[in-house]
Amino acid sequence: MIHRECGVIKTTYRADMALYPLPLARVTVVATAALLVAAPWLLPPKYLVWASLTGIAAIGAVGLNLLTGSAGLISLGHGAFLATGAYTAANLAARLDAPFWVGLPLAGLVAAALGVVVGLPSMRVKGIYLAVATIAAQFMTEWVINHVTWISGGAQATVTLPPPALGPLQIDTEAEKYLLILAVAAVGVVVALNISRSRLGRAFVAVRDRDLAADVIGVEVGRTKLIAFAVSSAYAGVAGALWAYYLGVANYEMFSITVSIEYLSMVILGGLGSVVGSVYGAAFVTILPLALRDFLDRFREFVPAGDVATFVAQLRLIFFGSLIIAFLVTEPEGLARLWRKVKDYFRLWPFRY
Amino acid sequence: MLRHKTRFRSSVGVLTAAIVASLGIGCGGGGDGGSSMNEGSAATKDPIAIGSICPRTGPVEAIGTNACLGAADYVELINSKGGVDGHPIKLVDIDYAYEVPKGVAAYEEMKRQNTVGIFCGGTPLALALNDRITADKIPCVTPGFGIAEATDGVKYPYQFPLAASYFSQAAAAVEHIAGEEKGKKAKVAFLHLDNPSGKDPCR
Repeated sequence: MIHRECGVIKTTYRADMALYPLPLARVTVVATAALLVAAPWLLPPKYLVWASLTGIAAIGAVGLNLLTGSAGLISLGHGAFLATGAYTAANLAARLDAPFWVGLPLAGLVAAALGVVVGLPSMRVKGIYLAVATIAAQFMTEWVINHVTWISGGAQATVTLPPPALGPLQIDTEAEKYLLILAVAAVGVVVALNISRSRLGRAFVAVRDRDLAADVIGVEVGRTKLIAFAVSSAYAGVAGALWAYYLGVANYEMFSITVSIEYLSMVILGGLGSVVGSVYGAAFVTILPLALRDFLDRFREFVPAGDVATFVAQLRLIFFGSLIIAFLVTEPEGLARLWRKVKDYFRLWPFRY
Repeated sequence: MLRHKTRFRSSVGVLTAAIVASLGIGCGGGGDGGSSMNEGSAATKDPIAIGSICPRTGPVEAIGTNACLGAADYVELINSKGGVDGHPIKLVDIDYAYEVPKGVAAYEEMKRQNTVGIFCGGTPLALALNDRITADKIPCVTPGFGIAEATDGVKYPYQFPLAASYFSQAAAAVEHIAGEEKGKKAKVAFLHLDNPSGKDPCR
């Protein structure tokens, strides 16, 4: 069978340990990857932009999910780490002419360092108290960017940077930027999957489920929490740097607390603790408002003419909010779980169980 | 409040007038069709599309909603008078909730609809779109405040801040005070937001 375990006979250890034991799963993964790579040739430019935005959001969301989903540490300061990454990359590129491949990892490293500092309260407080402590980080970072002109470059706290280049390859068209984002996002997802399968990932989960028990079985709780903050912030830093490179500018208003909340909602909607769930969540939160707006725009004629656009804008908010509630009520464990349920259903279809 | 609102709308109307006028001079046959003709007017030629990326929701919706209604009203007025050289104006009006990603997506939609000029409602958006508008040669008019450095047009050739920059607003206020208090020694206090936009005039 191509889509169920039944009848799949394994005769070698290699086949038994295969990442995708079922042919269908393997085909799906390869086809999805191929479609994503071929997207610039398949999608009109407008949707390519949606895809790029989703890719950047997915990198940040995957990072936040390692922190909030796997390690159970709520952070409302993700926007701060995005901003750190963006301004690091922008300053490196604008002042030192640092190439993209230097700026991107350095942005991650600087954000990780800040993440460790911001994570320090997590040694003492958890849950909702930690959320408040990380909000402090958000506001402090915003303040620093606004006031330290050495970082923000002065006028309007804005640093512009040239389009990215990989060696001789200039990346300035929409399609090239998309492929670059896709590549970084793919690496990010694979690394995150590996983290969650490794000792570190299990330590995260142990700390989340019961930190005392984790301590007893030999997990250094404090260190693990700080590593979780560092890894998550590194992801955010890379996402922020990509964001700055994608738009060619880092501006302080782009990384407000709204962004932090948006990322948290991506993670919760996608499924806490699930790496692919974060990608689904990022796609949901990024694309749904845009698609909704496009959809609602078709009904312009049926709305009182004067305030059409305002009406559409606010209807979009209403629909978006309702859809979030609907999804969370249907499946509190997020889109990743919902998708698994769908797969389980079709695995046995047409039988009930 | 009401008075303030109407003034705001009319000032945006003036700005729209500027864009519409520049259309009349500059690019007669800029836009292509798009799907729907604009309603009821003597205008029969192809419509010209103007974009308005507008913060109708989010932190600055109080400004966005009023300003963009002004633009929409003015476009309606122009169309009722027969459009520009017989071309009706089609206003592509997209809310971006003051969130840059949505704004970038909105810009791509406008590009698809062949807008000849765009209102970029918000400084972060104007900055974020700068590379794109320069590459696509689509002028971006910031009806609010925009990028003050764009006034000289060297670094930002496609950015057009129409309202007075923060610098000139403050300068006008100081000049006004100087006129009122002629010959006296005036002490001026400047109350501002503690962010780059607020501090701009103090530099």
